[in-house]
Amino acid sequence: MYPVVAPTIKIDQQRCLVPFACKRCLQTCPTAVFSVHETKMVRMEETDKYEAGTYRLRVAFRDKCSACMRCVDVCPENALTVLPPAAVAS
Amino acid sequence: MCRMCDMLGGGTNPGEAWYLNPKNYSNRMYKLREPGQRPTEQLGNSPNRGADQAPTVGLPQAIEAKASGDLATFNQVIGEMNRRTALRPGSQVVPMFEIMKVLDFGMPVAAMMCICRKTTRGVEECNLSEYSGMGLGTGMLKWERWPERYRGGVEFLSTKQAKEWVEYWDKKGMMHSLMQEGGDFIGGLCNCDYPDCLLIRNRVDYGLWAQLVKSEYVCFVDWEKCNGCGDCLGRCSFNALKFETTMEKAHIDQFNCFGCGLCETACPRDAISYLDRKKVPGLANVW
Repeated sequence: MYPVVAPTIKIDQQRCLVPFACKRCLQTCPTAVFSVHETKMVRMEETDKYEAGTYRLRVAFRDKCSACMRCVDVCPENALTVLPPAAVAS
Repeated sequence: MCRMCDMLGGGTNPGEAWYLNPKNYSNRMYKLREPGQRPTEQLGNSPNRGADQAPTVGLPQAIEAKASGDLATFNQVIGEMNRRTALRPGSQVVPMFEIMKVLDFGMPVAAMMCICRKTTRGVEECNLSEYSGMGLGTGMLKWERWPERYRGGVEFLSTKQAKEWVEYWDKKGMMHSLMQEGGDFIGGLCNCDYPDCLLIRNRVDYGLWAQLVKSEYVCFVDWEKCNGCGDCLGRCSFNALKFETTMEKAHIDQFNCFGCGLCETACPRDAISYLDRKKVPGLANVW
């Protein structure tokens, strides 16, 4: 393994409000970089995926991002920004 | 020789693996925590799971270091996590024919959603035709105690139903593993593939070997029987199976092979067989 700097992925949480209902980026990413988590837990109740802010999208495996931009293309809210890798600092 | 048997005790008959011992099913689930006692630390979870990125401990820290080109920190964190997890039993890959033996006594069994697939691919599993995970053992009798884990419900299955269900997922291309959630009991049966399964991913991509160890078997291709049809190709989640053009046969890398047996169940000619890992000197301690 040699050092590689991965692209930076930014999620605009004001725009990405219902990631689990939408899940376009989750199911499009060729390397499955994203993950989605509940922010609200109510005992014995299924979290409403259509309620804004009940789920939150996260970049879980940034090192696997190839900056292919498919998630950016597919996002209906333009909430994703993928920046090319910064220069290697070695 | 069997790594897990050393930790948990082998099967009831000599030479049998740990998962064929009914004692290893969920007995610990009934030991409640003392007031104020912390739950067992879940490896790989980030305490600030809501944050976009740059988490602070465990695997997220390692990934962030790797993504920044800092391999020294990456190797250090992964090394620390491996040293910690190696002391405890982890999940283990189990081929389907052994799963069938487990289901003969591992009651009750209940199908449920897979949390990894929900998290990484946003897959919603809401009923029996979709459920791909399984809870196993006495702990399932009190599943309502952990409603957060079993959201989406569970469906209790008879032994026959459970076997058909495992065959269904095997046919679809999911390998099987007995899952322990970091504890020392068998909590469930996972049907997984790369990359949505976090255990496979942690192992294959990040080298967290003790979270998911290889099965007691290694798959072996008999080149007298293999005609190179390629039906097995594409079923391996561990980068162990390819078509060897030189020999015009299926090729299994024995050191990458996890012994899940998905290639074996796909082979129309019975050309693939299981070798007992502990009887192959060079592989006996390759977990």
